[in-house]
Amino acid sequence: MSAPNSPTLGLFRSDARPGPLTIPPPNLEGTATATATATAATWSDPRQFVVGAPPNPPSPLALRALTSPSNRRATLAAPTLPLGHADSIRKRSSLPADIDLSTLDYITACDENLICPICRCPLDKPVRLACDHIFCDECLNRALEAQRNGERNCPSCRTRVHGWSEDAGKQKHKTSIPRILTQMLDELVVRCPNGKAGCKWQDKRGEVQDHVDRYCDYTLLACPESECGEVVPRKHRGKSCLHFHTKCEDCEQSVLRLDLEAHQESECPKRAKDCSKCGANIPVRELISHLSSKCPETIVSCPGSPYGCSFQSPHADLKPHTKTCPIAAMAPFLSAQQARQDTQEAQQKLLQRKVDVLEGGFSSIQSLLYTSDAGTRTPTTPLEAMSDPMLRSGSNNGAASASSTAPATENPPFDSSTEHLLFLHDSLRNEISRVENALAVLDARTTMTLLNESLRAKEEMAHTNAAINGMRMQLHWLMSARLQAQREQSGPRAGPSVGGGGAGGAAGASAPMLRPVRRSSEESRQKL
Amino acid sequence: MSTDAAEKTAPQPRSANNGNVTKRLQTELMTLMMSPTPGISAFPNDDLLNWTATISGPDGTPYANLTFKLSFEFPANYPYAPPTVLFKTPIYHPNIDFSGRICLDILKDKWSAIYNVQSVLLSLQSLLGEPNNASPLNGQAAELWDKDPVEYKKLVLARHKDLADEELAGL
Ligand SMILES: [Zn+2]
Ligand SMILES: [Zn+2]
Ligand SMILES: [Zn+2]
Ligand SMILES: [Zn+2]
Ligand SMILES: [Zn+2]
Ligand SMILES: [Zn+2]
Ligand SMILES: [Zn+2]
Repeated sequence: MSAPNSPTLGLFRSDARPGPLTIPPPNLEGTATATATATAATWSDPRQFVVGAPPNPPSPLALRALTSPSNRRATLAAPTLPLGHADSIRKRSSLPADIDLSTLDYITACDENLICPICRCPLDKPVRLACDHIFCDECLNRALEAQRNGERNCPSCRTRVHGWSEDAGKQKHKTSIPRILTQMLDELVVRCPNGKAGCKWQDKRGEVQDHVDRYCDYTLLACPESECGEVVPRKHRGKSCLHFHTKCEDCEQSVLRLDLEAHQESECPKRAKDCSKCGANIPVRELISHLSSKCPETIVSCPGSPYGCSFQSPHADLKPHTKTCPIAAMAPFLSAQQARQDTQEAQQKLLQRKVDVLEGGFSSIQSLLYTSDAGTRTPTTPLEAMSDPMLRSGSNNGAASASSTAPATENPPFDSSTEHLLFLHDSLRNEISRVENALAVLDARTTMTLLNESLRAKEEMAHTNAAINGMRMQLHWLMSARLQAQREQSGPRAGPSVGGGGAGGAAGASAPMLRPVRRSSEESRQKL
Repeated sequence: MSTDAAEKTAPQPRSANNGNVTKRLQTELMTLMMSPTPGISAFPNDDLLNWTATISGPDGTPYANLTFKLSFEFPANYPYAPPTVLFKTPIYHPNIDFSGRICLDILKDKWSAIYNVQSVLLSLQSLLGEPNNASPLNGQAAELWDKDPVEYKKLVLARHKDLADEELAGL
């Protein structure tokens, strides 16, 4: 990820956090002392900063405390007091405090793998956990410290972290870091943290501490006069103290001796300098604006340059050109045109959005009309519900739509009577379909009861048939027994032909009479 | 460890690192602007500790083609504590109440310092498609989600329409 390291970010970054070593321009009297480090004192005056390992630079935090306005007055006789403070800070991190690498301005694009997932900056003092996740030491400590319920889990994978302690000296959670990682980190190219003060140095991150401590012209050092307590950029640090007020020879203003050169270079209202380009004598305060716009020798471009004229010349030669250049003559008109075009484009965008919304509404109305013509759909198909929020039925379609969750359902905003009619039409259709459904259910239920009822009737009929049949059989048997007896009694009187005829007639009559009855009883039995 | 120690050491680094919040947020902003993720966007308001973000509903969910506005409020110890995130667009969802408060573990006790605006927005986007119906803020929504997707979708659209009307009126 190259974004955070692109050079354009320089301003953005340094605004974000004035690092301990950021130094304001030297000409601003007084402010320079607030954020100062005097690291060179380690070897120029070793007595003052013997804490921990001797070659280590003292903590900028401690030095800031040392040189803070309130302390400055008191430090003269008691340099050990702020050093105790430094000691306590140092104990926390177990390492000598130094440049906060995350405030540096990175020039090389940094590989995503070298970026701390917590602060999103290139890793600073990387720490590897047992789960193989790597963070800045400081970031990890703060993240673990902030975890609640005494949990200490890896911020990336939530694996439990063993051996962590708030006391840096007792921490046992770190595993070794691959050397290649630290090397890659050290090779990232950064700008000097004193860049704002004017240092142009840029090199590997591994060297920045050394540069600031030993070579940077803009590093603030303790005044050579040990009693003074003020700081001075390395390049102005001579043999004697410059922290006394003096009068500018030109304007008679009282200026700190240290800032005198800067005052005479760019601030003094009485001082003038020859412009390096046109040779005119210009007050130093106006020199910068003179060079950027007024100086006749400064190269400027034709006013028509945004519209195609490529003419460039010193300020003085531009006037004759603008008189003849057709594009320059057109420039005011063109720029007015441009402005109008811009506003119209903005308006058009708004209109486009409006049209989009209206078109959406129109197409949903259209689809509604089309489908109602076809008349083949039920009002609650999912497709319809998706394409048209208007179709939410206003009727009692479950408690959900009528509940307070969707107040809009109760009062849909109708733009026109057509829409209102459409809405009414739709809710009526819903109503009808519901009635239709209810009818179908009722119909089915009636059919079912009818069927059950007739079945039972049929069964009963079969039973009755069987009973009747039985009785007929009995009757027949009784009748035939009776007929037999009569025939035997009147046998000699009646001719055998008559009797036989009668018997034959009865038998002949009884047989066809019996058959259908038996058949029907058989049928009913089969049905059962 | 004793809470005593925590109280003693905590304020010191916090005050020393206050600038880290803005720095980290600037980095995040840059990342979001240099490599934008489709479907999400975020930008600070007047103050870097207050952002407005938008997410678009994921395809194939009832929220498809809808856009939701959110507000982010970052605490002074961000990213060590989670930002306060609220839905500004009315939304019908099992885990979001009617004032836009979100019930999502990573914005509460499961927060980790490695999360950022982008990962929070992506999580919220996936929450739209996969609500946690076990602990709903909106019980009715949780019930409907399984029972009646059609009705659910209707309610989502109805709730979202409040905003669409508002915007149209504002044009
Ligand atoms: Zn970090
Ligand atoms: Zn891990
Ligand atoms: Zn330098
Ligand atoms: Zn001095
Ligand atoms: Zn002067
Ligand atoms: Zn000049
Ligand atoms: Zn021209």
